[in-house]
Amino acid sequence: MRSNLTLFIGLTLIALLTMLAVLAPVLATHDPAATNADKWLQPPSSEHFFGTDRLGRDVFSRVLYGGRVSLAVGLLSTFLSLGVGTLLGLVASYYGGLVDVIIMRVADIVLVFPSMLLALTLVAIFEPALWLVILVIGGTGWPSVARLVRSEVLRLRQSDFVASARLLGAKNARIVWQHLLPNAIGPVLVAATFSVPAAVMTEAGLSYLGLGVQPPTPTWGNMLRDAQLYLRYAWWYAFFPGLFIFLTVFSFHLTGEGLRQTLGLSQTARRNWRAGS
Amino acid sequence: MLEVKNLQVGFNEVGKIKWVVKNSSFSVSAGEILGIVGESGSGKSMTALAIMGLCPVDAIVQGQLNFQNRKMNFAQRDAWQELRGVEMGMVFQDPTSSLNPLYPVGQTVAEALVFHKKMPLEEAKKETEKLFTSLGILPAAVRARQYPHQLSGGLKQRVMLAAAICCKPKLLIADEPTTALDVTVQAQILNLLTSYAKGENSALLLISHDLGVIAQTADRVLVMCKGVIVEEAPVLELFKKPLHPYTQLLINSLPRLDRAVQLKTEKSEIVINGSACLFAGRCRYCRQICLQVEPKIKAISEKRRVCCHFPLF
Amino acid sequence: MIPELGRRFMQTVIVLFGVSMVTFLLMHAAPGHPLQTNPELRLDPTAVERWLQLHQLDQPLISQYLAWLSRVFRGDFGESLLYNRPVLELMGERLPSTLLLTLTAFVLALFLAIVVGIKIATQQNSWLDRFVCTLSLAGISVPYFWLAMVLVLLFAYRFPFLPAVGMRTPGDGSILDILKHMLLPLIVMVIANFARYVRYVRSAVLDVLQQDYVRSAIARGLKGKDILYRHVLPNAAMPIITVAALSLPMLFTGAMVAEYVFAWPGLGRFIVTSTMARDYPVIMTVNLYTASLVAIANFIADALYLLIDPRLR
Repeated sequence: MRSNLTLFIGLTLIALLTMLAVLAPVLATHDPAATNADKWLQPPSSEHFFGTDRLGRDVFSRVLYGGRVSLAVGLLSTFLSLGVGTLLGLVASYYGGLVDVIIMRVADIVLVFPSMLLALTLVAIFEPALWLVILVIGGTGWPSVARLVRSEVLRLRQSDFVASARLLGAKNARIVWQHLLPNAIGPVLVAATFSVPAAVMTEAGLSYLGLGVQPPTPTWGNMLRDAQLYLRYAWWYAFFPGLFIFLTVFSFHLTGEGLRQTLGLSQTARRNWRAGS
Repeated sequence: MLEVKNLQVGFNEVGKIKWVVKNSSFSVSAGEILGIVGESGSGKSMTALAIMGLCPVDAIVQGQLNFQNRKMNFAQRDAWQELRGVEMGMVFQDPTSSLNPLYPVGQTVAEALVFHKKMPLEEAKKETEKLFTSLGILPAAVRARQYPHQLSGGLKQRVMLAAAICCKPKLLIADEPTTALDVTVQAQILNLLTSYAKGENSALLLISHDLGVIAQTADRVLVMCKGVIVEEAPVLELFKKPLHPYTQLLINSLPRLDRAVQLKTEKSEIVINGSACLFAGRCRYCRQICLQVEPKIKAISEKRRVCCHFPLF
Repeated sequence: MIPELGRRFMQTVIVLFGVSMVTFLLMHAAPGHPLQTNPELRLDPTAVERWLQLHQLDQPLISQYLAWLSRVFRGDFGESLLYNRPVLELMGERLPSTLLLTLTAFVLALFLAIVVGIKIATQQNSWLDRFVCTLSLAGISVPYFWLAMVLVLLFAYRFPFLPAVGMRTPGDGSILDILKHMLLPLIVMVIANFARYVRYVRSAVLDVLQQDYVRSAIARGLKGKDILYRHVLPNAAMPIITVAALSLPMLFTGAMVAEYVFAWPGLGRFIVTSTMARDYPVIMTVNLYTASLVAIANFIADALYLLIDPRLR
C-alpha cells in the first residue's frame, strides 16, 4: 500500500512536470526570450508568477521552457546509457573471457573517473552544446548499467530455469532474448529511474558552471548561474528554477523507490530483531 | 515442565489473519524427548519459535505458556530475555548461516558464558574448550580459534549445540538439527542431543520432517499438519498403530525395501469449505462429515490423542 | 588474499595508466589549441607557432605522451600554461583548504549516517524511519548549488549572521573566522552526503539483521546492544566501507561545485577555470590526482575487508 502510494506520487509528479514542459508554448504567459528593460528584477506578481530576471524576462515562462531542455537531456542520455550499458553488459557476460575483461576494465576506468570531471574535460575540448551534454552524461552513465546487467545475467545463467531451457535444446540467442533479458529488465528499469535524475542533476550542474547548455536557451542550470549574482536582491530568480530541478529529481527518485518496493527488490526485515532489543 | 495451551500463531494478510499454528496444546516434562513431525509449512518451526519468544515481529501470537511454573505472556516479548540462553536454548537447521562468519567459533560460546554467568573471559575460554572436548570438537583449543568457514557442517552444528547448552538450559529445542548434514554425521548429533537431555534431565523438543530421526530419538511424538496437531503418541505405539490417516500416510511413505512406496501426492480438490477437516482433501477415508465438520482433538487413551472423526484401529 | 591485494593494486595502477592515456588523447586529439579558447584574442601566427614549439605541442601525440609520462615518473608534472608556474605548486596552495572542507564533510556525514542509519534500521517502518527515509530521498534530490544559494539567502542575507563567501575575512586569520566561513559550505556538503550514506547504512544493517546468526544470537539470550555491536555492525561494515570508498570521487566533484558557489579558495574553482582555458598540464595532473585518490580509497577498502573478514584471509 505504502509502496504504491510512493509510486503514485512519483509518477503523478513526473506526469505533471512533463506536461508543463510539453505544453510550455501554451502555458507560458510571456515569450521566454522577450526582454523588458523597465521591468527587471520584479518580485512575483499576478502578471509574473515567478517574477522577472535581470533583463525583465518572465521567470515562469523561462522555467517552463527550461524544463523541456532538462527533461530532454535526462531522457535521451538515459536511453543512451541504458542502451549502451545493456548491450555491453550482455556481451560481456555472455561471451566472457577476454571480451568480458576488456569491457569491464573500460567500465572500471570510466567509473573511477568522476563524471563531472570528465564532462569538464570534454566540454573544454569541444564547444559546450546540448548534444555534447547528452553524450557526456550518457557516455559516463553506462558502466553501472553494464555491471548491473552483467551480474544479473551471470546470476540468471546459473539458475535452474536457464539450465532446463538449455537441456530442452534452446539456442544461445533464444536464451539471451527469451530468458535472460526479460528477467534482467526489472533491475535495469529501476536503474533507469535513478539515471534520469542523475542526468538532470549533472546537466544542471554543468550549465550552472557555464559548461552546459549555453544562453540564450533557458535551462534551469544556466538560470541559476544568472541568478547567483542577484541573489541578494531577487530571491525568486534563483528559487524557482532550483525548486523545479529538485521536484523533477525528487519525482524520479520517488518513482524508483516505489518501483523497487513494488517489484520486491527492496528488503524488509520481518525477522525477530525486536525480540531482544 | 513446559506446558503450551491453545497456542495460535498468525500473520496479518490484507485484513485477514492467516493462522500457521492453530489451537495447539501439549506439554513436555523434564528429561523427556518430544518429537514434532510434519511436512514443511505444517507450523512446527513456528511452534518452536513461539516457545522461544522468537516469532517474527509482525506475527500474532496467542495462547498460554507455562514454563517451570512461570506464566509467559506473548504480548511481553522482553520477558523471554532472561530465559533465553539460560533456561531455554535452541539449535537451528543451518549451522553455516547461524554462526557469525567474522567470529572465531569459540568466541560464540565464550560470549554467552561471559554474558550469562558473568565469567571472566579467560575462564570462559577454558570452559568453552572443556565443552568442545566433551562434544567431540577436537582438538578443542585449535577449533575454538577457527572461523566457521574452516569447519565442516557437523562440527559447526556441534558448536551451535555447545553455544545452546553452555548454560545448561532446562529446555532445549532443536529445529531440524540434522537436515543440513550428512547422514553419517546425523546420528552423532542426535546422540549428543539425547545424551544432553538424559544427562542433565532436560526437556528436548526435537523438530524434524524425518520420521526416521524421530523414531530413533524421541520418547513421544506430535504429528502436525497444516498448523494443527493431528496426533500425539508414545513413539513405539505411533509406528505400530497410527491413529490418524495422515500419520499412516507419513509412515507408509517411508522408503522400504520390501515394497514400493505408495504416495498419494495429488490433491483431489473436492470442495473444501472453511469448516472441513484440514486433511480431508488428501484423506482416502474421507466421508461426508469430514467435509462439513472440523474434528476436535480428543484423548483416546491416557497417552494418546488424535484429531480425526474416524481414527484408524 | 595478500597476493590478491597485490593483484588488485596492480590492476588499479593499470587503470590509472589508462585514465592518463585517455585524458591525454582526448585532450590532444581535439581540434585547436589552448590559445584559441579566447576568440577575441588576435595573435600573430608566428608567435603562436613559437609558443606551441616552446611547449612541445607541435610534436606527434605519442611522443608528447611519452615525454609527459617520463616527466611524471621523475615527479615533474609540468608548468601551468595559464599561470606559468609549476602545477604541483599551484595545486599545493589550494589543496589544504579543499581537504579541510571535504574531509570534514566526509567524516561528519559518514558518522551521522552510521548513527542514524543504525537507529532507523533497528526500528524499521517506525515513524522515525519513514521520516528519515523520505528526508534522505529529498536530500539526494536537492541540487547542491541551489541548496547553497538558499542557505546563503537565509543565513547571510535575510538573517545575516554568517559570511556568504570566501574562507577568511581579510586581516582576520583566527580559527573562529575560518570556522564561520566554513559552516555554510560544510552544511551543504554534509546534508547532501548524509542523505546518500544513510540509505546505504540502513540497507546494510537491515540486510544483516535478517541473517540467521542474528537470530541465533538472540536465541542465545544476548541483549540488543551486544548483538548490535558485536554481531550486526562488524558484518554491516563491509558494504558501508565500499560505499564510503566509492563515493570519494563523488565527494570530490561535489566539493568542486560547493567551492564554486561559496568562492572557497580550493581546487574546485581552480579546476573549472583551468579546464575552460585548456591548461593541459593542469587538467592532466588533476585527473591523475583524482584517479589516484579513488584508487587509493579502493585499496584501503580492500585492505579493511581483509582485516575484518576471515574468509578472505
